[in-house]
Amino acid sequence: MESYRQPAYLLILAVLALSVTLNVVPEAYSLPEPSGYMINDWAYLLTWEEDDSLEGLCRAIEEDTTVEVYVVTTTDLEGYDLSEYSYRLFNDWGIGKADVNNGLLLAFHYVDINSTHFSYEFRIEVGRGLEGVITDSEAGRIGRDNMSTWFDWAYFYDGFYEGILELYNKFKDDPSVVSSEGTIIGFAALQAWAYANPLLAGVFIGVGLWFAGAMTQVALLRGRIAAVPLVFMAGLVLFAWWLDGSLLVLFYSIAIAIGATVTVRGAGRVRGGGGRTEGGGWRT
Amino acid sequence: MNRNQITCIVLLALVLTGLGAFTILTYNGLVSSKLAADNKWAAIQVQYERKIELIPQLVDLVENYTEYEEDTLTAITELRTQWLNLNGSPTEQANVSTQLNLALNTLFVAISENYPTLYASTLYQELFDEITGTENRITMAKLDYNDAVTAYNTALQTFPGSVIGGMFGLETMPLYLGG
Repeated sequence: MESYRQPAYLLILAVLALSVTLNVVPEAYSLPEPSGYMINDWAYLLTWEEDDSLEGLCRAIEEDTTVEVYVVTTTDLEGYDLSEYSYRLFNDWGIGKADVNNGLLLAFHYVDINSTHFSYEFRIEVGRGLEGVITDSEAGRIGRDNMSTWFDWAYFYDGFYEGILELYNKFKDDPSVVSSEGTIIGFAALQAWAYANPLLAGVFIGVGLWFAGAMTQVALLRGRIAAVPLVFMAGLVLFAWWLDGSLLVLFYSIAIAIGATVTVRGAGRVRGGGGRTEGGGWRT
Repeated sequence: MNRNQITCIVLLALVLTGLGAFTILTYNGLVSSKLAADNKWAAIQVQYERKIELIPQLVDLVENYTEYEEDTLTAITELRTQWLNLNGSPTEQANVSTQLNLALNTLFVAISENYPTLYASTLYQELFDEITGTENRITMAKLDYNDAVTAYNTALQTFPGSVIGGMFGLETMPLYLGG
């Protein structure tokens, strides 16, 4: 009996493992990850105080109107043209609240020509919900009159400050840009957090499941009743289910519990980056 | 019936159910990515319409200021009419759109070189910003469309999709090139 069963289980396991491995899709393009700040001065155009001041301005604007204004300065467009870069970055980061799409991105590309000369291009990327108040021509006027005039003389801080203020003046009195996504508290906040961080929530529950599993084994080995750890385990599963209806948290936690039980060997091994040689070099 | 046979039947039933579920899931995934690509195609059309709607404004404005640009303006108006009479063929659309862009560029260059008053006027600046802005939206919509089509085509041509797509007669979609 046992000899029949063993290969069948192995086969099922192998098929499962294969289907997981084959479904890995390669990353299409690489964009910078959100840094958690609204001002991302990657081209080092602002002093620390200026950066901080703009960050304060943008956060105050978000507090006031829920509009999210982000600034990105960069010397490297990751191979994209400026328009595509700002478009992809905007949508990748999801700037603005989802219900009204009230995001703004000022993407600034700085080119260092030599020690005395620079050139720049920048784009005001307007979220869908703000298009009514900030039309392309409005954005063009603000960009030309309130920003470029400063940027031309390398007053980057003043350009951004005046530009953001000018944009703020456009949308501050418009109720349609205000997001109704209120702040959530209590259990709903926990669920929202789990929805946003399914992997992290899965880690906590997964470790709990693994612990309960281990305790079950201990109880069985010592000839005691395994009901308590089993109930604990069932409770954790139900909790994960309640936490995230899409079952992603449950999936992660079970995967982690299994992974913690079956220790994967060699997972930390350093792997090559896929480079090739054509046989060049030297030998004795 | 001994236990071995029962095990075999249960295993077979499990495998068959699994295969059925797998087929349904793959097929649904293919169809939804195709619908997503169709949606992106519609988004391109919306932005094109926006651009076409701006053209009469441009023609009206430029007519009053300029004396020697009649030919270009007529060409632009004609291309706009051609566009409105198109019946949704992508190649023809790209063709008219390319010609329209060429004509518009000729006009913009002529204005910036020969009509400084018009070029500096707020009205023209705003219209120019609107048109270039719409042009940018069109480009981005095309990027999105091509991304969606690539995702769909990849799903359709790689392993599980290729078999199931072939079973249900799904075909690859063309990328939007040029225009």
